[in-house]
Amino acid sequence: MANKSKSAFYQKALFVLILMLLWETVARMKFFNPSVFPSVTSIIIAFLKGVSSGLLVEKTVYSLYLILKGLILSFLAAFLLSSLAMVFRIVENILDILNSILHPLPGIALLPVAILWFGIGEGSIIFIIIHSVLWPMVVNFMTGFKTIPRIHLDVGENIGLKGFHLLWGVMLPASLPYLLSGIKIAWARAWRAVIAAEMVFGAASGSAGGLGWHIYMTRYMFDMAGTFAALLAIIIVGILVEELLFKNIEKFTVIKWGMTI
Amino acid sequence: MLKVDKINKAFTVNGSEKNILNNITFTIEDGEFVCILGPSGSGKTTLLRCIGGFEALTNGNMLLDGQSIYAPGIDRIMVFQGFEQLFGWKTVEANVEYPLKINLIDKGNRQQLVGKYISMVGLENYKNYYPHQLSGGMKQRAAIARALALEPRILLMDEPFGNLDAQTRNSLQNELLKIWSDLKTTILFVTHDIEEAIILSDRIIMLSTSGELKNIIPNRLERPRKPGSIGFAELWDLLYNQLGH
Repeated sequence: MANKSKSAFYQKALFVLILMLLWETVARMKFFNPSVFPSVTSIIIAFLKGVSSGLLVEKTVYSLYLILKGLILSFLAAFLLSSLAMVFRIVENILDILNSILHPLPGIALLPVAILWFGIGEGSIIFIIIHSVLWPMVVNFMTGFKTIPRIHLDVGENIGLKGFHLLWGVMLPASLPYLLSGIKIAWARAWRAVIAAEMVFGAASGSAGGLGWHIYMTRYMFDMAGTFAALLAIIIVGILVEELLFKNIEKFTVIKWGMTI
Repeated sequence: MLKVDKINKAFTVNGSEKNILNNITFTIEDGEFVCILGPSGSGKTTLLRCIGGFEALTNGNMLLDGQSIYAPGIDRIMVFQGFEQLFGWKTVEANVEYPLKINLIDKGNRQQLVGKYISMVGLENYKNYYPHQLSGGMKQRAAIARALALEPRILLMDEPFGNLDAQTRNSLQNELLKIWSDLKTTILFVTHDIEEAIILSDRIIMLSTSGELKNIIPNRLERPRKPGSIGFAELWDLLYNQLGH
């Protein structure tokens, strides 16, 4: 097991290294204008500068704050709605039609409406995040609840669990693989939403704006290495959250319990 | 005492009403070990689920110690055939303890009950294992311990050994009998296996393919019973013929 994950790590690291080498070679050969295709080294330098000056960290933290806020609100809403849908047929039907209507709508397409309703600022961005992540979460949560083995619910009722206790004691842990995959999808969707929304009106959101605004500004200043450095920040946060947070949650829950391999 | 009085159960299958249980009446005394035997499709499981309170009756009455049965309750604990009846996210010990916790049994009593019943089914060395790390037989032992720990008035068992190999099934049958004679629990046990019914029961309730009560046959063979025991073959023949072969 330890060996398997170790070799998986080396395989992944090797792949990334080759990718970076290839990028560096292409950049050094000057096929493209260096100001539009910066080398890996210049991106890393820009990244380190951004980190040491604190600018990149500040932008990343602000975007993460928005994502976290949106994710928590969406999780609570998705969990509540899916649970209610399990109890009341009408909630399930309403969710079903809402999902058909709203899920395909790109968050960014709703931005003009969001600005009119919530003004330029955090409220609009949170609205876009919630819209982008709520529906995939609801779909996953519902699938999770619906695929709980009948026998688990029978046992739960037999030992005296009802309502909220049945939800918390049996349905939640029994559907955890689906809840986790819903959260993982939501996390990725939230990044897309926040970057897109910030690029449109970032700094106007009161504070100095997040990574999306930073990407927009660096491109505006023709600082392509800076733009890529911001993308690198997103990639690094993504890898850290996946490898350290999600993998560990899985290791100590669904993998430990033999629910997934 | 469990009294089942003229019960009927119908399901709607593909738009048409289908009678699963027809006018079934019987009584089970405290401390009795009764098997329900019948061919597949005779409504054995449905009957047990009705008594468990998982299915509503179409009509008729069921009384446990004079109290009407209408919903699942901890006075009737069910042990299922499926291995996934244990909660996969809890260890064996936690699986047994959880129902006690829910029913507000204080920690001291809880630990004492958990210890007692886990050792009764011989899982002391596996109490920290998760269900997926156990063999099928061990999972069923754990499920029995969980059911016993609640000290129900009647234990409902729905072919709990149906998915086990013959050897494991035999040893679990013997252990169940030992537990039963120690605890004097009332057990209602569904099976389609004639041999199992003979080995375990005091009485055998036979259902017919149409979901009617065919016969209630007393089983007075001396315990322990083995296929070679006196009277075993005769009873086996009787039951075999009654099953409609």
